Amino acid sequence: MDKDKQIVANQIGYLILKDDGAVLESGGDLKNDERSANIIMGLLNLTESIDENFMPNSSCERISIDYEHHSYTICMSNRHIYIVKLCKNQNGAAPTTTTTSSSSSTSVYNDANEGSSSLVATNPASSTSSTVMA
Amino acid sequence: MSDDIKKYFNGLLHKVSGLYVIQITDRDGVPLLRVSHNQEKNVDFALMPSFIPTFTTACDQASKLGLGRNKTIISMYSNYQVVQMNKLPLILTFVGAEDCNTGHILALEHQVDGYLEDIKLAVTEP
Amino acid sequence: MEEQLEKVLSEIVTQHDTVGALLANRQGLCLGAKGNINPNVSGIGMAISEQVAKLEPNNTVPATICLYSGNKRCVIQKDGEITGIIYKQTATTSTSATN
Repeated sequence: MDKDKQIVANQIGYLILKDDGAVLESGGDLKNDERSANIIMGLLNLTESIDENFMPNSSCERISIDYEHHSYTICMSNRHIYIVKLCKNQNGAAPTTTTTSSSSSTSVYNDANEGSSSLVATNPASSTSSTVMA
Repeated sequence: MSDDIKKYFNGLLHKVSGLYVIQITDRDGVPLLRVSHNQEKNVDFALMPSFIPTFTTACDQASKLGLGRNKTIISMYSNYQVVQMNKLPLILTFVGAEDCNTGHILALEHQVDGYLEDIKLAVTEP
Repeated sequence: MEEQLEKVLSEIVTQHDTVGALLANRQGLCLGAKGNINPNVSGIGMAISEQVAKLEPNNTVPATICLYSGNKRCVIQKDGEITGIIYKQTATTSTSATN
């Protein structure tokens, strides 16, 4: 049997799609996962035109979707769409694209570059915003 | 050319989840373009003879409130929401589910302007 | 009425590299915006967060979505009825690979 392609060390699944959404390759958690593929195609369709004044249309080259214990990274290259599902190691070994500090609270988003929590205000765990979200 | 426009609006319709119909009419309600989901809810009411002229009247009245010209009217119902845009000589009507993303519909406004120009020409030409 | 909201938004835009921030309600309408961000983005931002929510519907903790384009980033997070959108821009293109 064909072995799953290993793109990065801590991957738990991957999908490679054609630009029309057809699944070319898949493996791990995302094996034959047409449903996720369709949702991600819908997402890419939406991200085409966000705000022309900030990001030119269709200029978005990478998308990351960050959950508590895992994350997805979506890259567009050469008319193909590469999706990798990554596991976040509890021992602090950093994934390639997104980093979490193991000590931080659950849903605080940690920025990949400077490690400052940028979405603190929409997080109910943060004391500053608890009154707003109530 | 008209196929092109129709295709574009069909794309928009599928982009916004919960949107049933996009239609472009003149101010009397004469349909110029209409795209809809085939199997979705029956929203033929949007083409009833009284529907568009009522919007035109409401829009004219709202323009008299002293806040400037009225651009958009959003109507919320228990099962539908209707967003109508005053793009005279055209009226742009969106009909969607009550929980449809209103903000997304409103954001389409400036995207469609280019395409509307072509249709406007067709309406204004004698 | 919305001064708490304004306060939070002001706090966000003072963060490092942050260009603008806005909050949207569940209709995709803008509740408040600060900095250099178009309030019309609330609709599409909300649509993106809804689309991503379909990916793992059983996951209770909301995902954080980050769109990268050169030295610019757009961060979106949905929490219950509210969606937050933040624009970030780094001075240098160190974020990721070029186009």
